[in-house]
Amino acid sequence: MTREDDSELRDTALEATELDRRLTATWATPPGLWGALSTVDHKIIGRRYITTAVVFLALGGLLSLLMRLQLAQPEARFIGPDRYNQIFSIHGTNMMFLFAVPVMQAMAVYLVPLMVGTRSIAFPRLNAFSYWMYLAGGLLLWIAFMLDAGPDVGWFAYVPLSGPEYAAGKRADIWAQMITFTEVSALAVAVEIVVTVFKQRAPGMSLDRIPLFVWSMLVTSFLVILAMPAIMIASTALILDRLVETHFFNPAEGGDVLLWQHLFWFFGHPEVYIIFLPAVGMVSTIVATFTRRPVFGYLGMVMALISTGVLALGLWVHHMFVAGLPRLGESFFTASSMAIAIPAGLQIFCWLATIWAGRPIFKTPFLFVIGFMVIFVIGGLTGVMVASVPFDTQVHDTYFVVAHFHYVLVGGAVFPLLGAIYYWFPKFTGRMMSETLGRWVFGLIFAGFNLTFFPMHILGLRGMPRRIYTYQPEMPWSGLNMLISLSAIILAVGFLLFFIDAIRSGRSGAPAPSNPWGASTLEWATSSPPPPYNFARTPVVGSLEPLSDNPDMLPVAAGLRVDCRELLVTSVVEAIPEAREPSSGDSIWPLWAALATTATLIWSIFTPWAVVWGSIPVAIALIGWFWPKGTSEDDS
Amino acid sequence: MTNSWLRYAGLVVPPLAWALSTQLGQITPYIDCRQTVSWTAASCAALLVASIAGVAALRPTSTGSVKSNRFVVDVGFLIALAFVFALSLQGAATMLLDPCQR
Repeated sequence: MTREDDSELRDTALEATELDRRLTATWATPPGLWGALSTVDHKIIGRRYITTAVVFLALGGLLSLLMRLQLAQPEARFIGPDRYNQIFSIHGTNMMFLFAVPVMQAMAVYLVPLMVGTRSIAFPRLNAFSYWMYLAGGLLLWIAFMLDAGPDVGWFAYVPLSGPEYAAGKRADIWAQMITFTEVSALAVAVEIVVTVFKQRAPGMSLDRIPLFVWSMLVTSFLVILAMPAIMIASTALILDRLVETHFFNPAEGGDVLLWQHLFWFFGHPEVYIIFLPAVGMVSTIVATFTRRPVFGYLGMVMALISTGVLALGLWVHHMFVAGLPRLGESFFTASSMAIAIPAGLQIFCWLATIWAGRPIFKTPFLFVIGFMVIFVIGGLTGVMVASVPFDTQVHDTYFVVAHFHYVLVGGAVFPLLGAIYYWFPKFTGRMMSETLGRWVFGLIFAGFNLTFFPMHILGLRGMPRRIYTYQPEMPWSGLNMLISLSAIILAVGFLLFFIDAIRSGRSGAPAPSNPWGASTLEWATSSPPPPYNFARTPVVGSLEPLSDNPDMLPVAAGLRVDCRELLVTSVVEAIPEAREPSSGDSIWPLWAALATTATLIWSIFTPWAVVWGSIPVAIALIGWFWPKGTSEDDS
Repeated sequence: MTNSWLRYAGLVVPPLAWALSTQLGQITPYIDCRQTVSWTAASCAALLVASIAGVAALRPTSTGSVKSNRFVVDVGFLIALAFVFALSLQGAATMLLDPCQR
């Protein structure tokens, strides 16, 4: 049958088998290298994102083991000061920019379209472009480290330390340009998520029926859009100061050093919530599934997500309490930092109420949620402590702060993420992970984490500063440092076991049914793993838990074309169908555009003329990307 | 202002008032330190009153027949309360601290 004969062929006219065959032909990624490079399937890109981010997690973890080896004993000579500076800088940069934010967005890239019941993510080619940019940024940082040119200015790159006066060479430029790569990537994904959630929800999925994970990713995406431009502007200004001798951060010529801190932390504090809020969504999803009841206080949870997201934008000065600002001004940030404990506490109580009223099933994902609650509450309590100016002044730049933010970030994001991977792994791969190994993984990571990081509170209170590569034997820190380093091995073994379990299960785990946990959200309404088109017919949602209402027969809407990529656009509040919209097909142009942008950005570290000459290949790639090709997918 | 716009007031007015108060809190202490009038306390109090008025105006709109509209109003109301609380804490700080203190 020719394309003309097929035009306007709708899913209403086809039986299930024929519909599957035709939709697969339309939506599937072609086999081979070209297909892999040009695919825009959100599930393939989401899996790539997750895998790449987990590789960066492993690499960052190796760096932390090197640091613990160095600090296990006083006056150790395993790593020199210069290399140590690079290691802690890259550890922080890698974990924040290459692991934590991307992995959360990656989960959303895979899951949000499935959870809202649509066939693809909005702007699928932008999604492909974002992955290539992210990969290029990660490679830039790690290749520079291999060449002994890794950034050595901390993950925050404070000026004047990172400015032209004190940071010779290109190390600080590599940090600054890596920021551009990862933030472009994050901003692209954020825009895709916002549009997908607002305009591509299944009919009937009104605002009060959106799954909490989707709400969390919506709020997170707005945070990314509002906060990340600040750090891109700051890092670009830093490169300009270093390359063409502007004076944004040079007080001698009218610049301002504190401007860097304001811009960095205007991004840096929301960054914590950009990592934490998706975890809130993951925890809510897992709690609901494993207690066999909806999360208690859906309205309160949505309120908590939104107010946390907004308050997160007004806390940045609590990272600058020792910068010499007026105490009254600082106290406003103390007030907001205290106020954010209200929505955070509300979330914890909602989960506890859900568990209390439900029938908890203690499978591995749920164990990680329990671990998250314990660890995050401890991190939250020390957070309230350091939100107080007098206390923060005492412990500033000590290991107390290192302990605090690891409790918040690992407890608040990594534990939920590991639980989420165990939870959604069957959907990603069609195979189950091992429950026995999962319990071992949880036990080792929970014990290893607490033994590693809790003593750091005490080290901090005993005055051990951060970022030192060694210390004298007379200082009262040796015993605790040895304990921490030995405990880090337990933590590392836990992660190693997790990687082994994931790889082994991906290859030969037990086959997973469509809905192995008896969950109630839409991603479990399709097969595991989902077909390229996600849903043969668009599901229709009648409640917050569509699969609980109709576990065997989900109502569906029909009428979409099957001979081209098409999806349903719905209204923002009520999710009433408004239009049929073509969705972009596979294209190699996002890769070419990313390569051209990569060459330009890296070249511009060395000469400003790269911006001029590099714009030519970027323009060519974008023209090729958007050139009309006569198909509805391309014209969309 | 029609009801359809009013239902988003809780989502917008108190968070904006809090953001404005936070920004003014970084500027006015320098002025307060040179004068006897506390502009920081005055601006914070004014924004707090505006937020409370916004919350009070919002609550009666949560009676519509469309469930998702009620949901928007109720979420906005709860969010407004959180920001009124944050503004109250900021206002309390203006009564405790000397604007000249570094």
